[in-house]
Amino acid sequence: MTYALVSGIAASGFYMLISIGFMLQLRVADIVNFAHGCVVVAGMYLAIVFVNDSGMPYGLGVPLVVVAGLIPAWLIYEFLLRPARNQGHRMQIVVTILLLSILELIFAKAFGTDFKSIDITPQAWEIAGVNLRRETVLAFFIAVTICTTLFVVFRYTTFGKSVEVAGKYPEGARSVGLPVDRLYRIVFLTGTAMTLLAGALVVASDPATPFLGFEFVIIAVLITVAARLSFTGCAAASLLYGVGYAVLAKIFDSPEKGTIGIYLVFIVIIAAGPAISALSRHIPQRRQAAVPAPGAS
Amino acid sequence: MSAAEQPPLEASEIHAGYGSLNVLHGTTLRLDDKQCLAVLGPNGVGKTTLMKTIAGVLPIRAGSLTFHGRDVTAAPSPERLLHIGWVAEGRLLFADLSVLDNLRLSARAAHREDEFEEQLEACVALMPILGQRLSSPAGSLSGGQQQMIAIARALVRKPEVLMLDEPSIGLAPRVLDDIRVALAELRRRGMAIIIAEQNTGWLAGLIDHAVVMQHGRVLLEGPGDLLDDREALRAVYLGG
Amino acid sequence: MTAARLPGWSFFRRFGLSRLWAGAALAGLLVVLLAMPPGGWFDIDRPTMTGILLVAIFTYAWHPVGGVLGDLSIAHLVCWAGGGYACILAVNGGWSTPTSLAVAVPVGAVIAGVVVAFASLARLEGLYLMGFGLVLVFLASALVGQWAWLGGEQGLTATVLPLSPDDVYYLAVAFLVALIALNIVLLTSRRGLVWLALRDDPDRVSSTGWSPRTERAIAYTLSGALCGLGGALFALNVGFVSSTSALTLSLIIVPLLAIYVGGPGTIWGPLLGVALFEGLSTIATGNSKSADTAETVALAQYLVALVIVVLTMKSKRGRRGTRKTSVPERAAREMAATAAPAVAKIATPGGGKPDPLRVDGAAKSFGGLRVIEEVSFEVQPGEIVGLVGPNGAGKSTLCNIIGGSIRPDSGQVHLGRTDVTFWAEHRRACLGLGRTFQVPRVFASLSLQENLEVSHTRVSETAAASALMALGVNQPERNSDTASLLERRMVEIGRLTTAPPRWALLDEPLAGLTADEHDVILEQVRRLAAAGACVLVVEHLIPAIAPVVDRIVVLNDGRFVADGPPGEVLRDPVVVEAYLGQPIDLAQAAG
Repeated sequence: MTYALVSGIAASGFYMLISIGFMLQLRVADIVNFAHGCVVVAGMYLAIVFVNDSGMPYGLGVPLVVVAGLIPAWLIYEFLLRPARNQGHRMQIVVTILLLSILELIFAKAFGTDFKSIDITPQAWEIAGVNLRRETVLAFFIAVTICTTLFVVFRYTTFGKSVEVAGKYPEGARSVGLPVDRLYRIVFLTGTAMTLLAGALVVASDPATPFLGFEFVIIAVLITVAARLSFTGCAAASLLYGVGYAVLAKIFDSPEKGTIGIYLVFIVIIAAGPAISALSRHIPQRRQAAVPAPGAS
Repeated sequence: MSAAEQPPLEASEIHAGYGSLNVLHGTTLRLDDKQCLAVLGPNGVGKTTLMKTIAGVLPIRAGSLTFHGRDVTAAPSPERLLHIGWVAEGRLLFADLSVLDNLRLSARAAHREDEFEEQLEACVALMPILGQRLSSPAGSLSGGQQQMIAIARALVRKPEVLMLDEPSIGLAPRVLDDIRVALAELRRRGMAIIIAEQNTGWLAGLIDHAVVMQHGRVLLEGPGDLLDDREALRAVYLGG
Repeated sequence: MTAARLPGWSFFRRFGLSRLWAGAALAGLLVVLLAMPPGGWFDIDRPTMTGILLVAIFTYAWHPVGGVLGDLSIAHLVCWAGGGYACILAVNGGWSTPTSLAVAVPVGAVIAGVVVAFASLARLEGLYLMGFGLVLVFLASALVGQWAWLGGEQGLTATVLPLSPDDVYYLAVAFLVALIALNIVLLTSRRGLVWLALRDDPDRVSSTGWSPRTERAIAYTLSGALCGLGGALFALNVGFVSSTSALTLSLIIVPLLAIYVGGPGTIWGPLLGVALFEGLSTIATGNSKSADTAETVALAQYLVALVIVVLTMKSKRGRRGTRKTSVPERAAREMAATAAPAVAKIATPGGGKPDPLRVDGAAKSFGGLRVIEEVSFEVQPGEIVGLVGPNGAGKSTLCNIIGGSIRPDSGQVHLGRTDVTFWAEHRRACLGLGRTFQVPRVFASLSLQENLEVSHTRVSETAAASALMALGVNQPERNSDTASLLERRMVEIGRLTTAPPRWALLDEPLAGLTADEHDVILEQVRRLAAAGACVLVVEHLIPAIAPVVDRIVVLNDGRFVADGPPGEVLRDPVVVEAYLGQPIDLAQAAG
């Protein structure tokens, strides 16, 4: 049980890292990006290229992956995602699924469809008596740090609030001269950077194949939706996804029942979300004062 | 004329609109230094469109716009709003952020964060009600208070021009009194103000110059006492 | 039927196809498919063709929900798999082939029914709906793996293969043709128009008298049943069904892409999409056995698909963009969903005289701020009443209370003798309430005249077309995203002429129009009243409506401050004050 718990918690770090980027884009720029998972895979492959083929040390390769991956990501944002912003989620989903398919094929052509691993000596760290890969643990701590930092930044710093406001009240933000489009771009690039990092880290323990992209984005979608676009929710949902299965499997004494249990929990969480916001729509004081009313000062 | 002597805001033959709809058909107006200008006219005539065009949120399809003689027709909106404090129609406050945050974000966007404390003090001195509710969420305040916050949000940017779009919407006369007092004080201190309004009554005594718009153009123009010519205005608004 | 039902690529739209032609094309397709020899053409043999047909079947079965309604419901994959499982179970249970196939239909329908009921209850839409569907698929996968009677991880194998590959092929052809025919019928029917409109603007649809919830339920269940049947055939094709074969997400992703690349909500779009994705790669891999070539072809096909989608994206102004560019934002913000015209024609004077519109003591607060204060008034049949007042007076709120998108805190709304205070919008529309919006809300996927056909009464093509032409809109069969603001307004007004309401609510019908254009609209307003409707016109441009109204009521600060004939009211000092404000005593102000 301890093994399941600890390794589950560690794995949830990875889920957190890949979901945060997806969630940020949705929350602030209102973009659904199904090609998000491919960014992870790109990170994995870039790390392999830098370490295996260019002989770079892993510690140098990881940050370089982030830098190198941002450039094509930025181009894709400018020419594909930004124009799709006004088209609504449906079209964004279609466009990004196509993009996902294209990227998968490009990866397949470039790297082949076999599993590719990175050439580094595995290092294990012992946590609570369980041996975990160093990178998995790192990923967890980085993820938690990022989640917490973003939470703090968005809630307590002026810059974070500007970004939040650009997403929630774009008209009002424009009226005070906030560079809304530039903020959306920054958010996209930040999210992408985190995702590339996730890929560069996870490749240490899991080999890369071109078709993982879809799997990853599905996880990101589930966690984002269950988290209802909040940072704490993201962390919680990731933990749930990573650990919940193991815990439930133990409780029901069967891994299959554990899987079923966790999906049922997710359904409840997902369904509860919109139902709760539908109810809270009847409480208008949190809304921007859109209906002019006789002042009762 | 040096830059300082040029009018803070001058719009020439502005054409603007939304999609296939053209709203402004050649609007020309000038806001002089230390002047309080009223832009009047019934709804749909283009007052808000004009303000949005000046702010840069709507593109200028034809015509030119200058701030202190400098051509800003091509300047992007955040740049224009460095000089203008825009109190948009409906106020557009960040409802679930505190009043203080609303103000601070605006100051930061105008690169005035280092002067924020003193500007804030000045605003509170001008509109005391602000001081008591700084940490409340902006959406929880009354209409009148929200209007004051919106004005303060524009003032903390230390703008050269204060631009207000229908500030009196949905406000009771007593509240309007307080706002007028604040605006009068700002005018006394030399701020150039442009106010778009449908309801002209509460503005009396505040205005140096007034323009009346109709069908996307300036129809009448005159000194502040134009507001007192109720028959002329009534004819434009109500007809008959 | 107009040109719009062809693939979305704009150059195809120009060719009009009536139901007859579409049927003829379909018959042609049938002949071609049946004529295919067992060895196939271009190295596509029958089994491969069957595989492609099954993809097309799923695409067309899912199309009513995924393409027409626009809901990306992943959950329908569970209907597909459910049908497959039901069929194999039936075959293994000794049931005849037709029965085994038939049993898949209710299975698929029930699954879809449960999904849509849950989704409606929990108000799931967009990404939340998709997330829900994804989890459902995973859950189904896990459950199926658990249950031995469903074969567990290994899945179910049919003990006997009741159909030969040829049989399956012919069945697949027949089913696909039937599905396309169904889509043709759907897209050329009024219901199909309503579903397309639901994709564009669900709130607007409810004000035409159609219930979004009911229509969604119908679409989901129908599609579920068809997906179930498709899944059954899919299972019988290989004699086997398992979670890995029938519950993989890629099974539904290809139909999704096919629909949206080919053209959602069109007849042939999905087929073109399937041809692009399945046909091309099959041909390519057929000719050359190299995996590398297959990859290149696949890459090319996705790139082409992406280019097509991006081009269609750029050619539209964007669904949201269309609304925003219409009229000043102030108007857009004050606006909420409202009803459009619909319901029975008003009988000629004498029989079934319509009753007055009455509001009694309506009050409304938003978060502690009182917007409307105990407002009461009445509009008699045949009367035109103008509702005016300065900004912030509460006009929009009052409109929305009458229209049904807001419930008052107290008071009642009566349409005739019926108390509709708590009625949903579409029910009011069915009863006879017709409304136009400040910002014209026109369904972008439909042509201008089809917009008028989305109504609870029967509006024929010719009636819609002639109504629009009478209002000065040329070529009413063209697509609405080419319409100017004036034309959109005319569409809104047109609804009131083709489906004359008993109670009409017009929200700033003159905004953004020139003086000549006013006359056309005001003429229609007069006609409405002459036909016996109670007409309430909300306007800012008082001089414009003054000549046409019988009475003006002035709202200020949520209260009525005047009520009487135009001449009187417009000179009433209280009214002048409401607009121009109180003349301030300068001496008082300086002090």
